[in-house]
Amino acid sequence: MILTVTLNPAYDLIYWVKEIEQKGETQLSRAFRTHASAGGKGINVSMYLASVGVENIAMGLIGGHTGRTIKRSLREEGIITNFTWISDETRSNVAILKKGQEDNPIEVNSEGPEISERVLDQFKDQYETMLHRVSWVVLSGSLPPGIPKSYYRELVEQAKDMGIKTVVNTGGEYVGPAAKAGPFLIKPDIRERKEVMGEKLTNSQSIIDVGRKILNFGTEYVLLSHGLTGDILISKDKIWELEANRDQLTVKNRVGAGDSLIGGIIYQVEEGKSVQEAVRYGLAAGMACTEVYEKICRDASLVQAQLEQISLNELGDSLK
Amino acid sequence: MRVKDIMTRDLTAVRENQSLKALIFLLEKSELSGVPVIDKRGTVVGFISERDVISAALPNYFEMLRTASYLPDINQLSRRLEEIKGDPVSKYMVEDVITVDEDEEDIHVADLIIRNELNRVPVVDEDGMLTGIVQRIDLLGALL
Repeated sequence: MILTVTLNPAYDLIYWVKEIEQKGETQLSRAFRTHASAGGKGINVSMYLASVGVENIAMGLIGGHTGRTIKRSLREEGIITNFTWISDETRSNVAILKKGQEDNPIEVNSEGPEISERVLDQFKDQYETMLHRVSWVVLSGSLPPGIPKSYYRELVEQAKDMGIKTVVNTGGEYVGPAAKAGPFLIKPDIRERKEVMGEKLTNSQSIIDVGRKILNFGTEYVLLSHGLTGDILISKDKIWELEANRDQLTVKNRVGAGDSLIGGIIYQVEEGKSVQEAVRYGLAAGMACTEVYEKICRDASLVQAQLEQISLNELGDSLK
Repeated sequence: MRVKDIMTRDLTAVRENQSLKALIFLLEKSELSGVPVIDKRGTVVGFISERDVISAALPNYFEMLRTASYLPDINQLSRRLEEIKGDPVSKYMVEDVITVDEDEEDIHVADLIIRNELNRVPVVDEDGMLTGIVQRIDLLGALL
């Protein structure tokens, strides 16, 4: 059983527009397509896992009408839910994708509601209970105001103490503390800033150098993206470079693609594949997601087509 | 049809040591009328509903309502809730909780719900750990 944790979930609203016109004093556009769904990085992983038949539990913090909508939609996807309730309304995030520029969306994300210490204590109790029934924990996304930056570190340590594998997918200031707890796999989110733990990521070598730094804390695998179609996987012994064929890709929506990547990795490792092969599959799942309007690609043939295009090359020993 | 085909896979519950105040917050926010009570590992040890909370505050409240000879003072309920809000849920929960497992027939659950005037029945695995809930409305939906 897999547990996903989304401490800052959102209801995602995605709009596709042809153009944004200046009309009088307003910039206006009519969406020719919309998509609304439960969101937040961990929830996206849960939805991907459910789409391939992997039983999983989604937990996190929800509140208000939006929170109830998220919970209900996850239930309809067959996902087991165990959320902690907060007093305030869960946030909504908006993405605007302009025709022809779908791989460069405008995203407007709220910071999220302020979380009290009482809610965190309640969440910790529920998390502890859930750890008794899972083999993997995925900790994904940003932390809302009120939660200490080191919180992922505590959650990773708690899971590790019970022999549970952890995957962390977060960005910015949350990466360092989480990395120091030594999760099984960490994928720093570098969409907003090409920087990890104070190191700028300018080329493959700088990515490898940061990966080595993180490995020294006890993490088993570090996965870093360079661009939409490439990843570098770094372990204690080896480095692999994965590259998809960008020319074969027609991007319709890249929101949630990175989360399908994480879901694909766990799905394949659970199926007995090596981590590098699982990452290759995950990258294919993420690529396939960009080819459909919905956040999750449910067409296995699209994933297979992408998989055939992805190269996996060993670069050499990582800690030398 | 079996329980696993109609159950709601939601693990909303309270721990036995949580306060009545925390329970009321949970019921209010989640819009549920009652939840299973679990221990640290997730094993079901009881069930508590808003009705149990009212009975805890005013033990004869529901009997009073039936006779209609006496309208309870709402301020009295408020005062009593204030007095007991810090008490653990375990003090007022129904310990002899009725549970079902995922492979039971829906007709058996329907019988349990009708006979015992229940709204929600916890679903547990072979170790007694909570795996979901069957609601009266789930059964009605399945029967349509």
